[in-house]
Amino acid sequence: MPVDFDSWKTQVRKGYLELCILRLIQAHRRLYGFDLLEKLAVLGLPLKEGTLYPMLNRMTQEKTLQSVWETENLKGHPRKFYSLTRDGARLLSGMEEEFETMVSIFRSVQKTKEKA
Amino acid sequence: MNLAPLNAYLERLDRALQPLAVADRADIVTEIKSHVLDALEKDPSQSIQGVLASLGEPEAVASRYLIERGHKPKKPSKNPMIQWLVIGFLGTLSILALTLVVLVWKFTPLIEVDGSRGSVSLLGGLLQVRDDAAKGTFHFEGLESLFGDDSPLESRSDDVNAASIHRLRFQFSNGKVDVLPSQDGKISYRCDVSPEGEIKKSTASNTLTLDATGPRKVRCEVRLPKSIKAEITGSNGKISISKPSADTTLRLSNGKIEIAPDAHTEYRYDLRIRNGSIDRAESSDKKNAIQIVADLGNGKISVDD
Repeated sequence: MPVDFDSWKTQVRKGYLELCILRLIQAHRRLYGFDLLEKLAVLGLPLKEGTLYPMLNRMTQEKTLQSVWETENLKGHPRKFYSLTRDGARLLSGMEEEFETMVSIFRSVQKTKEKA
Repeated sequence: MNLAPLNAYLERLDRALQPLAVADRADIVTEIKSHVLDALEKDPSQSIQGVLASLGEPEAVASRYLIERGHKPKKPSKNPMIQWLVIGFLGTLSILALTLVVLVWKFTPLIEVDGSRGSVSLLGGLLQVRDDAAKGTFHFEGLESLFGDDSPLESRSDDVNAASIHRLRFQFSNGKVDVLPSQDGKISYRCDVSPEGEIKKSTASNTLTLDATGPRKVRCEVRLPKSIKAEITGSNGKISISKPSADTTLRLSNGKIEIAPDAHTEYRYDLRIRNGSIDRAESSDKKNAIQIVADLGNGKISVDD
C-alpha cells in the first residue's frame, strides 16, 4: 500500500475516533481509561494506551470531558472516571450530525455513474 | 509483587513532563499507575515489564501528553556529541580564517617585480627569484633560513689598502654581516662562507666592491677605516654596523638591521621598513651629521643608543 493511504487512514481515523470515544463515554454515563480501552478494542478500534490517555487528558483540559477520582473499595487503587460535560454533549451531537452528512454524501458519490 | 520497576518508570515519566504544572503531572502519573495496576489485575499472567513495554518509553508517553496540550514536542537529543562536533568545527574554521588573515597581512605584497635587477619578490620578500644570467638558472632565496644549513663553512679573509677608496660596497645573499671600525686603517673582511662560491673583489672609481653573493651563506666581519662610506646590501639575514663614521646605506630584504651609533657623533637617520618595527632614533639636523639610510623589507631595524 502506498504511503498516501496510511496517512489518509490516520487522518480519517483521528476524526471519528474522538467521536467514538465521546459516544462510548456518553452511552455508559462514565468510564475509566482502562475500561474504555477494552470497549474500543471490542468495537474494532484498538488504540494504544500511550495514545488514549493523552487524548483524554486534552479533552478534559478543553472541558469536553470532566473527571473524578474514585476508589472502588478500601483495598483498591484510585481510578479516574470520565464523563461528558454539557459542552461535550453538544460537541458530540454536532460531530454525529456532521458524520451522518459525510456518510450520505459518500453514498451519493458512490452511486455516481461513470460518464461514458 | 515487586513494584520497583513501576516506580522507576513513573519517576522518569514525571521528569519528562517537566513543562507541566506539578498538580497536572501528579494527576497524569497517578492515572498511568492506575492503568498499569488495572492491566496487571485483568491479566495476572502479564509481567510489569510487559505492561510498561506496551505503554512505551516514559519519555515518549510524556511527549504525547505535551503535544496534545500544544507544547512543542521535546526531541530527545539523540547525540549530544553532535553539538560539540559543530562547535569544534566552527572553532577550527575561525582559527584557520585568522591564520589566513595573518599570513596575508605579513606576506604582502604577493608579487613584486624588479625589472632593473631582474628579480621577482614573492610573498613580501620571503622568496626571491633572481634570474642569474651568467649561470642561466633561477635562484630561489629566502627559505634557506627556515631549513637549516649544515654544510661546513670555509674561511675567507682579505684586507685592502684603503688609499683612494672612498666607498665600500658589500653585497651578500644570506647570512650575517657585522661592520666595525677598522683598527689598522685598512679595509678588511674575515668571513666564513659556504663553499659554493667565492667573494669577488673589484674596484671602480674609488669604490671597492666586495661581492659575496656567490656563497649561499656568509658570516662576515667587515672592518672599515674612518670616513669610508659603506653600502651594504643583502637578501636575508642580519646587518649590523657599529659606530659608523661616514654615510652608510644598509639594505636588507628580510631580517634585522642593527645600528650602534657612536655617542660622540651626530647622525641623521632615514629608516624605512615595509613590515616590522623600527626603533626610534633621534636625528640631528646639523649640516655635518652622518647620513644613515636603512631600507628593510620585513623584520626589525634597531638603533642601540
